[in-house]
Amino acid sequence: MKIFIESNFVVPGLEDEAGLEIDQPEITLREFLEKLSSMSPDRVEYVEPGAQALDPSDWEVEINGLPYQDYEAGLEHLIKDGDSVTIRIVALGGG
Amino acid sequence: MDELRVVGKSVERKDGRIKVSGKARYAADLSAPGMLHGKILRSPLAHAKILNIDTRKAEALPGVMAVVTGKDFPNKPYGVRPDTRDQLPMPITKVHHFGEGVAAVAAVDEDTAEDALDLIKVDYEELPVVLTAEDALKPDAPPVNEFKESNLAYFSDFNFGDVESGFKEADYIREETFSSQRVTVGFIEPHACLAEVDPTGRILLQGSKQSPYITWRNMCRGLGIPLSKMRIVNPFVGGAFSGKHDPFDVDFAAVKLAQKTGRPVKIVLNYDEVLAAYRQRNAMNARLRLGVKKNGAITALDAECVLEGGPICGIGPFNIYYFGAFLNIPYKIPAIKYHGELVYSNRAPCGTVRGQEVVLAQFALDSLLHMMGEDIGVDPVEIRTVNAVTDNWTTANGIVVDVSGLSRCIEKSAEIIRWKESRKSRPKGRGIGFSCASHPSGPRLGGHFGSTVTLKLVEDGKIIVTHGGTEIGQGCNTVFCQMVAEVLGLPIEDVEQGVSDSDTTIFDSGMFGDRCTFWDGNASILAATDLKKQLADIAAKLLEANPDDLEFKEKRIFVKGNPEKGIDFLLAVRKAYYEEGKPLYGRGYWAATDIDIVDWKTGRGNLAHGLDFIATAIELEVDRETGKVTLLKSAHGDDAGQPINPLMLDGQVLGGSTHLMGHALMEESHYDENAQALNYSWRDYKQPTSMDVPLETIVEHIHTHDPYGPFGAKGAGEASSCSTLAAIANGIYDAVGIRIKDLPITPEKILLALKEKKEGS
Repeated sequence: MKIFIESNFVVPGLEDEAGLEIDQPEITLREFLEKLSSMSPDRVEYVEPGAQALDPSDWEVEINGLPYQDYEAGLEHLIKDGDSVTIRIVALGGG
Repeated sequence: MDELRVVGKSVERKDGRIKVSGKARYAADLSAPGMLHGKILRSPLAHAKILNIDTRKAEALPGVMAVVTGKDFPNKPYGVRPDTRDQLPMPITKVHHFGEGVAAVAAVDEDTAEDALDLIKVDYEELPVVLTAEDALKPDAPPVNEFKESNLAYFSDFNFGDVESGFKEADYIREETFSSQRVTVGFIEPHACLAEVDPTGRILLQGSKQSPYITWRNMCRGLGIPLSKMRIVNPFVGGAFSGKHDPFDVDFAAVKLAQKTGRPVKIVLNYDEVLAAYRQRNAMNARLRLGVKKNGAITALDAECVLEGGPICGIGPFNIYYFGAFLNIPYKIPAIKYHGELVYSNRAPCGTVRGQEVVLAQFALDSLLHMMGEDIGVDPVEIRTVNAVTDNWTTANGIVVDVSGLSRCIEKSAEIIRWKESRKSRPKGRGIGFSCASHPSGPRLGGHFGSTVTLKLVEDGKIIVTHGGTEIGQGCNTVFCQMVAEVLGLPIEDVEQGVSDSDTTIFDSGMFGDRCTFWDGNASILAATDLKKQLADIAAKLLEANPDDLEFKEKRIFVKGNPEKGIDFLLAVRKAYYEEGKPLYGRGYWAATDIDIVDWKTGRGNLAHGLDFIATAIELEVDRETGKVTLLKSAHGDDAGQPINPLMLDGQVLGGSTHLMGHALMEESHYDENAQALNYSWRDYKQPTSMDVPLETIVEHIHTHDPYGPFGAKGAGEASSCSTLAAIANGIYDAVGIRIKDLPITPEKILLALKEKKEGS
């Protein structure tokens, strides 16, 4: 299946791709983000190990335009073929 | 608009007298009962594995209360973005640059702490160093940062408009390379802090910090504690210029030592430490290709820059972003292609310096524009006027320029510097250089980004202002008091600045990007308006009038058009406290929710309001025998919207320009082949003094009215730093006909170029 990705930053490991092909019919958001992490050369940590939620001061994540928190299962929500995941970075600091 | 009574006037700075009389208390002046003194042991090597740190002898020294190393902290990196975190409070496995703090001691006095440092034994295994951007990107380069596999710390590719068509439309195309050196930030006060831990374990940090919010968030992450467990109070800060956003080993070590000992710990650095091991501006290599029409109008730009930023990413992504996204101003450029890279090295860690990397972009762009004007026979003033952005201009990446006084700024600067007259006759060796620049009044980041101001109206009728910004010398405390006084019809003397404390203040996201006056200024007006409404309700009852019909002026509240029907301001205040039992607080918050959040991937969007503009002209003289450049006169046409305090605005413009005169002509942090810093004292690191700046400096304010700005004001203080480098480089070319594109433009480089020119002719 293919999951589409929108972001306000270049997702490490997916520099020229608008989405990710996955060899399974469905995947939880947590697994999907962990997969992204494993694809990035420096293991960008989207989900802290054992955390029940993303750190909102680091990441804003939506599934098909809705904040992932709005889905009952949260990080365990199942993403399906054709779904779109939006990941936005929250930065801290400026010049 | 009614006549302004306080805003627009050069009232005395709120902090002026206590600062110049030495009474202001900075972090180094603080003390607390039982306070210990901290010192930091620094690495003599620029790149090495830490095999072992033996602190036993130091701990055994009488008077030493504790020693900390990187292992005392959670191994949890922090940084500007969650995907670029690569800094630890103190290093654990390796050192990354000369002077990096590897251990810290707290003792009963400074001498004992200093002695203890000598007793700490660190075993290193030296590693090869990465000194330059070229070194960093070699295939066999040693990796600098343990959290990254590669030395390419960050990159961006932006494409705005149709670049290919733009170059096809051009009548003339030229490509050049430019470079800039490492420079220090240049604030006066070295890093310092006092850390205390109360019996509940809650931390209080009072430090010299530019953006306490950034410090607070990063420190809590680095220490592994929730935000509520740390309180930050800002004392007076002796300048920052982007060099004090982050928490440093000073702050982390003081806190950890305070936690270990249960006693307050103060650490004050000396300036050698600052010059050797703390924030600098990135070294830059840039390539620009520019296309223009016969009249000088730009058709396309292709730009690349590589920033060498030391061993951390830090705010490097912002530097790469600013360089590229803001190539769209101050000139109309229909199409831009941009590639930016940030690379690691083993030199001191970089942040940025006043003007961010717009400074470097503008040096390259405005130098090249001048060169091309010369080639096609278009006057330097004319070519800038042709390209200057105008009102309601939308840039190629989507920034909407609401109001631009740039054309008038150019006209004014040329007039003051007597450009036309100089073309008829000028002394030998003299020249005039121009450059323009623009700077946004603060971007919109994700997360917390608004500004909050709280006013407390005391029962004596005086107001205490607390805001989330930081007074770092730019004068924000004074301008906010002016705005509040204006709205409430009070004299400036009746409005005082309170303390910035994370327990009582909603901190701003940070003091950067010319945002403070613009964002907190708007919040100040809203807070004062909130308070005004409360007072109007009270006065209306007494006056049997409609609250909306009341006017506040000269410490009175009265019915518009009928000044006799009114009451004293103080009477309304007393009425609230003494008869209604009502406290008087005004609250205001402001955030530019209609601009776009920073898009790191594309650089597109309406990225900021309040674009301030400047045109700088500098007259100078080059001594052909010695190569020395003497700056004679600077003229700045400046559009900061409505000046809130014209004298302080002059100071901001001139300060920004003066700051970069050193960058242009003399400053440079040098390193040897082992990446050891060479000139980390004020004896060897040259900054401009009053003897080096132009004797004559003129700022002409071009009054515009920004539709989003407080009283029509825009940000100020960074644009003039962005326009100064190219103005000087262009002036040297005008004086003696040599073009130097690698900064600093030292006498040695000038003499060499003059020799080459002579031999070439």
